[in-house]
Amino acid sequence: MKTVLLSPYAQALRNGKENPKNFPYWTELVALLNNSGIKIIQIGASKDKPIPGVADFRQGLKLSQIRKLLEDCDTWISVDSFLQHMNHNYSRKQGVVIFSQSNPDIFGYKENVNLLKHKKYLREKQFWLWEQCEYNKDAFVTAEAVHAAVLKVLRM
Amino acid sequence: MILENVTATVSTKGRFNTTLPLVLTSVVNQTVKPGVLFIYDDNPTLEDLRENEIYKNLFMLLNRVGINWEVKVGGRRGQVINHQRALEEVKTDWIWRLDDDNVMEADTLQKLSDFAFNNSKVGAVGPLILDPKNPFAFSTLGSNKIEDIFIGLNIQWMEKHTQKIIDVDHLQGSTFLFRKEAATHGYDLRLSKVGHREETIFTYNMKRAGWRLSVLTDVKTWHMRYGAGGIRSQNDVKLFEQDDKIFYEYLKIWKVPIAKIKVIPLDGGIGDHYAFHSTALPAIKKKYFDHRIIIGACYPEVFEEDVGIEVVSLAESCMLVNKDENNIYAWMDKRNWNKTLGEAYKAKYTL
Repeated sequence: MKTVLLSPYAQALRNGKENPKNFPYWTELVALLNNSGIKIIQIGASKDKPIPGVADFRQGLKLSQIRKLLEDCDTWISVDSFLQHMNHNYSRKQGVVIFSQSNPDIFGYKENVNLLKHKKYLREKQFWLWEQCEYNKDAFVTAEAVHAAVLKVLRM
Repeated sequence: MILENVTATVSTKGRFNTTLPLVLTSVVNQTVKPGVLFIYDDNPTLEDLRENEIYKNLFMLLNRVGINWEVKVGGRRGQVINHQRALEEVKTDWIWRLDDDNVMEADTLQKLSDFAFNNSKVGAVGPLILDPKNPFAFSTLGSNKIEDIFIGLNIQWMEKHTQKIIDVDHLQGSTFLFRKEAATHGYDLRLSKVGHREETIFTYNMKRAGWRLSVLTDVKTWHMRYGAGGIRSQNDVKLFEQDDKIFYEYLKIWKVPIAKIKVIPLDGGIGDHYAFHSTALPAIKKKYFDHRIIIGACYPEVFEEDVGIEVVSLAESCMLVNKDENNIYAWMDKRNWNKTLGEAYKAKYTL
């Protein structure tokens, strides 16, 4: 059975609003992955919640523990957050990164599948605070698109 | 108790009505007091302090506790001239130099003199010199070694220490107790009015002459760092640069191998740390191979396996460099950056 590591959330914003980088279709994606017989391990911070359908949810891990999970999994999925940078620093294992308003040419890595729905959704001020940006659900690819990318990476 | 062999000296400018009364009050309240107090008045216009209500009281108080005091007209060419004059005019074996915005804890002179008088090799001994507005517990970067002078973070500014007595290469801050016999080299009168690095030159020359210099970490003097008056009344950067030129001449003569440092504060998230680590750090290590590379990190575990760098807290690194000037997002924004985040770090610190 293939194992996929999931890091679904970007850092919480200081204004309490949803981070514009957070993917809105995790529940649908997890259902698709489960249906494909893929084992999912979700990691998160202490305040994060497990995505419905995730059986293995691990919170508050040390960086060294996350690194080990990266080494052990077959691939990984994240939004534009720390995991892609950590992966690039260590194993450079191909993963799937879901972008929306941040530019993968700046914040992504070529070894990954960087899913950007369209450049028109990129925010104008790429380096400003995320608190200065509105959430836009339309900026994301679908759960099906992410699922297809994962299957391709896993050669399934 | 009065120490007849100690003269306290304070050179003052523009602080008669702010911090100088605090200094005199602290002197009066010492558990062990100096026999003499010289005040060098470096103000451009003279004021008879005996007619000043506050000073009238303070001077009577000094008389009452047995301290002989004298207000001397300063050279009005900066504190170095006055310090040199003190060397020539003081008749006692020991001089307790004070700054005109110091508040010394009551046992300061007692502890400094106990230590100095019982160690025949001691040339000078200083207290911790702490800013009450900026309490700073400890940093591994703190050093009073002469080769670390440009790190700019000395142990006397830190409140927490594990050793009670620390021997040093030079004393910083302008308050310490010293033996006149150890100061025959005098002050460098080429220094400007601001007297930048005068105490480093003065005390390191003692060390070079074979005298021991020590810091007592259980002795505290509070440095009010009053904004007006004192050394800061000469804000001309050129004066500091001019003094630094003289200091560099000394470094050459002393043959001190100055430690070069590169400080990088990483004020970002975990991802930023990894982007920096994977793409920029190897190039930084290559470029600064002969430097101490100091990383101020929010997530030090990112650097756990690294050798050849020092990792400190972000706060510590920001004692040495400006955090805002090192903000990578502002840097990228200013340049309309379109390469990767890691490449931005690499460009900022190696190009």
